[in-house]
Amino acid sequence: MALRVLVVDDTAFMRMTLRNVLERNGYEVVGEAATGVEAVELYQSLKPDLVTMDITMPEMDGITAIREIMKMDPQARIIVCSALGQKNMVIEALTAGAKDYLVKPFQPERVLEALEKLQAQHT
Amino acid sequence: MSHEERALFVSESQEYLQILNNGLLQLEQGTDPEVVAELFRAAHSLKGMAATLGEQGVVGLTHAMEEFLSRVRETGEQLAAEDLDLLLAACDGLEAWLAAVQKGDEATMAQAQEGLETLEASVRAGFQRLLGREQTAASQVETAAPGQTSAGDLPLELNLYDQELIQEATRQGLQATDLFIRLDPGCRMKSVRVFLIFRALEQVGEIIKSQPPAEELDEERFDDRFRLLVVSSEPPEALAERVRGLAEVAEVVARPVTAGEAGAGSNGAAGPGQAAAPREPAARKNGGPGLPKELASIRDNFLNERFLRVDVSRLDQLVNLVGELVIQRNRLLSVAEETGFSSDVIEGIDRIATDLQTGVMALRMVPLRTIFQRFPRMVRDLARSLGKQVELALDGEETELDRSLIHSLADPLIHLLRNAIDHGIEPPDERARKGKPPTGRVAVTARQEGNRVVIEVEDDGAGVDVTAIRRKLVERGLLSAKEVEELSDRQALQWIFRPGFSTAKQVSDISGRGVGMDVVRSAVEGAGGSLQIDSELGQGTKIRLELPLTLAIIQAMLVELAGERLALPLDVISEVLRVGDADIRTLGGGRVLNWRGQILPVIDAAERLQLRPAQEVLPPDSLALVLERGGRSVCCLVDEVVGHEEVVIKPVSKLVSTLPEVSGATVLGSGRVAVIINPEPWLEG
Repeated sequence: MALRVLVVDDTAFMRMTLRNVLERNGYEVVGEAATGVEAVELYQSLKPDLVTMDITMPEMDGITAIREIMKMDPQARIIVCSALGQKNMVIEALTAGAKDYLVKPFQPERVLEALEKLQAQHT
Repeated sequence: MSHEERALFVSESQEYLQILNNGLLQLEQGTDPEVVAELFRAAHSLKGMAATLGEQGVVGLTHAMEEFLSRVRETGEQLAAEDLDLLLAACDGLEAWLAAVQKGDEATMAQAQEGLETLEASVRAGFQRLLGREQTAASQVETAAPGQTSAGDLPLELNLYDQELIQEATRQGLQATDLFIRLDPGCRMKSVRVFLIFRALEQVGEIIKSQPPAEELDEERFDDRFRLLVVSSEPPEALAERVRGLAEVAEVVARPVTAGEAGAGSNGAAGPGQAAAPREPAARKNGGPGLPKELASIRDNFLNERFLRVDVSRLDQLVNLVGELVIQRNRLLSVAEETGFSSDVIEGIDRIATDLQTGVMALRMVPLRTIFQRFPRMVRDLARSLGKQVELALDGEETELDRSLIHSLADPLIHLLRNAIDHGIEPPDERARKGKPPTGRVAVTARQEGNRVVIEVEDDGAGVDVTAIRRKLVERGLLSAKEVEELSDRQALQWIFRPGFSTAKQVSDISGRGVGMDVVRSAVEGAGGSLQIDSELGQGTKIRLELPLTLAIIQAMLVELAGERLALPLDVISEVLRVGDADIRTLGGGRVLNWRGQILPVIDAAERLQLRPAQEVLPPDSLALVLERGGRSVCCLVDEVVGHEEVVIKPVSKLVSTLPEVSGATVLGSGRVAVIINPEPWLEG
């Protein structure tokens, strides 16, 4: 069964880019969130298998959202997405519970590798 | 093997032989595990290189040496003089063989190969002797109490504190592991990746040392390799697996470390260095002993590297700049021509720009091996899962293509292979009934033909049923019965590349998942290539892919069409005729050209490209170009040929052009923009 992914990013373009990459490779994008608040709400209602989480977003940033989600579900599998130069924030996000990170602009093969490795670790 | 490859092969093999020779001599002084490991690696590398060449004699001998050395590596025993003689004689045999390869002389080579067989037998005999011998030296090393190693004997990489930690860990039943880790070259935010690796390891153990030190890793002051010393209850391989489970990790090598071994590795600080860098004794003497051993070996590895890894984006930037340079060069040439200004300065710049361009483009060339090497495993697995027997033959792996093309080629090729095995090769019993050998054969071959690379995927399976295709075309209402009748078998076959067309009787798990031949086609055509199929029912299928060597810069013929300037790839044009002299007739609804006894369809390019309506009467001084590619020909009408030029291809947005013939645009020497035409759709008819 296709893994269900929640894509979180404040720009519609990045969400579309990720959605395309994921859907072309057999993942099911079950939801898109543009803010941290939305991400937490959608995580609760959709219970996705994986989340890709942007860091810089209005109404609750990605790191806070990761903390909220990890509180709800300590098993949550979240990949944090960042721009170059946000190293400290990425580390913070990983410490908060994210399992891996991706650097924008996305390279499809990196995205897929991260998802596959994460999947392999937990099965 | 090309001249260049042979030279590289010979020089690299010589280096390994040198390592073997030097190292074996060092073993006379006593068994140093580092040296043994080095020797083992050298024998192993030689074996790998020989195996790619199919040199069975060398593979056999180096394998026997490997066995020998691997045993010594495990036991740490002192080798007898006769053992060393044997191994040195093996090196001599390899040297003789290498000399023969260098000469390229068949007779000498045959002789050398015979020698190798004899040597293999004696090395094997020596190995048996070794096994029978008592392993006193081995037990000494194994039982060497950690306390016996004195501080002076310790290798520089591990200080007293580290040693104590290892000893303490061993007492607690834990294992110390030396982990060599290499990140993907494209890995971004390396320090964060390192953080994740540390985190994964710290869940099950403790990292007591890193090389380079943690601060340097954190500040990303390292290439993409580093070493960690980890103490854990998990065995080395399990730790390695944990790291491999993370993304962007290219390589992990795990090696158990014992306090005793760390001591043994240090008998004579110069010992390991001699084996690692035989070609730089001076550097070693000056810098070696002063550096921590691990660091020194990293540095030696670096110095020994014949290849330099470069960030792809830098290369792409260089290609873009060269593209701009070529455009400016063309402008300079055209200005010089207009003004009648000629000088050797301009000629010089022209020549250097061309050489520079060739050189830079060569940097982006990647051998097809990078894709081909995935095939054997895939074919084996697939054949097994389908209960078929398949033999895979690969040829031309060294053929090179632009790296951007290599990427777009991997999936289509895998799909074609899958198709060949899934739909082509029959199950063994069915093959037997047909009087074929039970093992089917799939061959993937690649070669360069002029400016293009040809890749063929051929199987000796069931072939494609053309009658079934014809029937299906009618059933699906794609063509009328009459149209189908007019199709040649070859034309009918081409339909399997159209969207939504599959003749597989049952949709199998492997090839029937919607990724059809149409996807293969669009991928190949997207890369500026073409695709053709030949098949005979019951005999097999051959699919031929043709791709340009590179996408960035091509030789083009510039033509004029209804006042527009267009560029056509030069390699596709085989003749230019004056319409007035050409034998063009009207046949049925269209025109044809009688060209050397061949009847070619005539394409009015201006009409196809919607530049003007079809011409009733053709002006006799306009031109007819004969285009040829992959055995297909077509005639195309243009108003005038303007010249020929190297053009830099710039992509055109699909929003701007919906015409399948438009493959890009370029800036000409004159400063005008010209559209680049891909004649593939015309050739298809």
